[in-house]
Amino acid sequence: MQSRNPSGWLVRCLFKVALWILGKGMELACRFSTSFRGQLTRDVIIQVGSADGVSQYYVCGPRTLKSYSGPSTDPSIKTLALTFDNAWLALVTLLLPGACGGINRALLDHKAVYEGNAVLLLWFWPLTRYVLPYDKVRPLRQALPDGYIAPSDDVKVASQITREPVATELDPTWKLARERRSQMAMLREANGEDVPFW
Amino acid sequence: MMTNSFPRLDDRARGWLRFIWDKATTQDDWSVNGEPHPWWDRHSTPPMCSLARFDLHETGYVLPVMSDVTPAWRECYTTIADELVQRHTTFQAVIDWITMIGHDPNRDRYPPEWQVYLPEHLRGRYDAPGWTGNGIEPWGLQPDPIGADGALFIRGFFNLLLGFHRYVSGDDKWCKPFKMVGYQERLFEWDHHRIASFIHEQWLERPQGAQCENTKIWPFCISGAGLGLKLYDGVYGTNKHVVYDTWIEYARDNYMGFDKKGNLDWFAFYYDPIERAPFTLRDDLSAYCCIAITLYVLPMNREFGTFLYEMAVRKLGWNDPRKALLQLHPDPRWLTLGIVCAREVGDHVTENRLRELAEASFEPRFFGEDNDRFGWFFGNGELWPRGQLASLMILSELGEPGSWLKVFNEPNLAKFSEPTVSGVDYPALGISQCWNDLDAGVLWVETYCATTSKRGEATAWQISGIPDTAEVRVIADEEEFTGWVATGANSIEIRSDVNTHQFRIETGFRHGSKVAASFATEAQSQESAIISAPDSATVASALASASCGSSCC
Repeated sequence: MQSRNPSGWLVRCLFKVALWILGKGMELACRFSTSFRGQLTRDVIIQVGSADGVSQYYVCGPRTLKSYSGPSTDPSIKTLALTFDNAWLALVTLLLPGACGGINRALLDHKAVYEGNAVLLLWFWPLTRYVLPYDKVRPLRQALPDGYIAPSDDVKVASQITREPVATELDPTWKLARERRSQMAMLREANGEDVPFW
Repeated sequence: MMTNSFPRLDDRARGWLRFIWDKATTQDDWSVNGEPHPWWDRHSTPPMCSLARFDLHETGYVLPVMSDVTPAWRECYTTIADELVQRHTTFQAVIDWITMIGHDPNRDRYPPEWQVYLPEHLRGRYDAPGWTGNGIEPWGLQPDPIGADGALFIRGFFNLLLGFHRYVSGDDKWCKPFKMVGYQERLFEWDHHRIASFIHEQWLERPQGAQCENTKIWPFCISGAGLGLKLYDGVYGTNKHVVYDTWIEYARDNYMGFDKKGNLDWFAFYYDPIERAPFTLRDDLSAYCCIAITLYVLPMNREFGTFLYEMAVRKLGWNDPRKALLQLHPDPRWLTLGIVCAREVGDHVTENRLRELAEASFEPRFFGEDNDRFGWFFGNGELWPRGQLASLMILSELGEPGSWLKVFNEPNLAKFSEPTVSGVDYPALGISQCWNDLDAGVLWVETYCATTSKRGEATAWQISGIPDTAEVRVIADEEEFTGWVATGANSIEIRSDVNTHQFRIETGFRHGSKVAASFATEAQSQESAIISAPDSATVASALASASCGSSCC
């Protein structure tokens, strides 16, 4: 992508520093936050930059994250590379709440381009919230009305529901079922096998 | 060839029908001892749809629409629907509910592509969509995949599939008790009416909607279940579907948010009442959550469905030729649903844009022996087209725009009392057009060779429900045709070959025609009360009273 409206030196520096701080912050989060590390399960590279010369990439692996300046050069790893037209647009888009929507609009308006799997953005973005703790998703303060949150024998269909005690795992003696379950795509992928997605 | 304006199955639809016939009628073992044939799609839209069960009901979507294209020939769709329903009662169809017991031990190992479907604050310690969590607190183990507090996605879409079977066949086979496999291969007895009543009664007491996995309430599955009730109402003349209208009000208040201009800000993909977590994709990408359910909403509430659709295509930029056309989520399901919905609502700009992209990138092609089969391969490099997604694609091309909505809002039940073609040697011979012109008293039939290697072989098929065979005249390929015989006072047999032919059969069956009750068409013995050409509501009511002795109707 060629920048149609390159930013000045100062803005480019600001953007570069922001991306660097984000990277270092996430490296620290990876070191100290179990929930952050828990989301790092596969080898993925996320690259963010601008067409006027700024870029930073974040190399994620199982329970690890490292940040580097410049464009990624490893084509073997699943990557999302997001490039804005210029550093100013990138800064404004990424720092405002609702940034994923802003990125979407920039892409639609040809002010940004991406290569790779764009849905990785929706995975990566919440990780950045460990460093920039605003625009976070939280549970509702109050549950929605009329919630059915425990089984009831007073409901009309209760007599048609067979309820048995809590079980934490599949009956170990039902070996065939265990075998069949292990062949399911969901189980295979979660166990690290490379199952085609789409 | 004589021209007429009546609908017909095109080459692609015929090729797809040929493939799903193979899938449905090739015996495979869905019990715990076996595995579905690999052509059943167990991979699409992971993690929540990577189950062969989704292929069953999505394959079913095309059957009522095809049946409306060739309403006087339905036996092929009946066979396929019956096979789909049969498989839906097996271990493999409900493998998720009866084997994913307790919490997922792998929930801190999900790939990033799955984590995007989890509430952000719960990632790494929350079961992915698709992991049913049967047995967890507070629900306990519920061994029956139909009679459960959760598992709406099983009974909801099963009810829809049962509705398709009834719609294309008129047969009450699945209204009689059948066995459903549950945990540890225990068997539970259900029937179509009881399933529909269970959904309806449970829903009346749970305005949020029932959960699918423990404990995720999905507008997607709720809308699928609602559509199943809508079809049930259509074929049985009941009013169970009203619960969905109430749910829409609940959804407007709780499952979506609006910005200051009144535009849709977000829409919930699912809601977990225990975690108090509505999940949606961030910001504009919430549009995918809208487009996911629009196919189901449109036939039930066109206004709400259109609202969701318009919000979605605007946020995704699909309806604006000035915008880049992107698949931000690489799963083809979303674009496919966009095409189907665009066609149904008459949004030609969006439909054309998306269809052009689909033609270029979804790899539509004929395949199999003599290229008799057709499907979309989506660049997966697989041997067979994925059934879940390709079914949606063919749905986007079948019949006229609005065909999908018509199944649910103007169900054609009069077809059961009109002259009907049967005994066709499918898949050797196919029927691409089969339409009673009730103004002219003519049955139009177009045949084609569905299996190339059978071309030219002698074949015969029957037409029943003719008022008086003495009055019949048959024109084939624009010439007087004498290769037919009367096989009864109301039925004839056509003797021809496996090839492309057009038949114009003057049956004399017009609006208001009557046929002797004993000659009502296949599986319609219970319809003896409805043998003149009635309206759909009358037929639905008569079908219900004739075939159901319970109080549910």
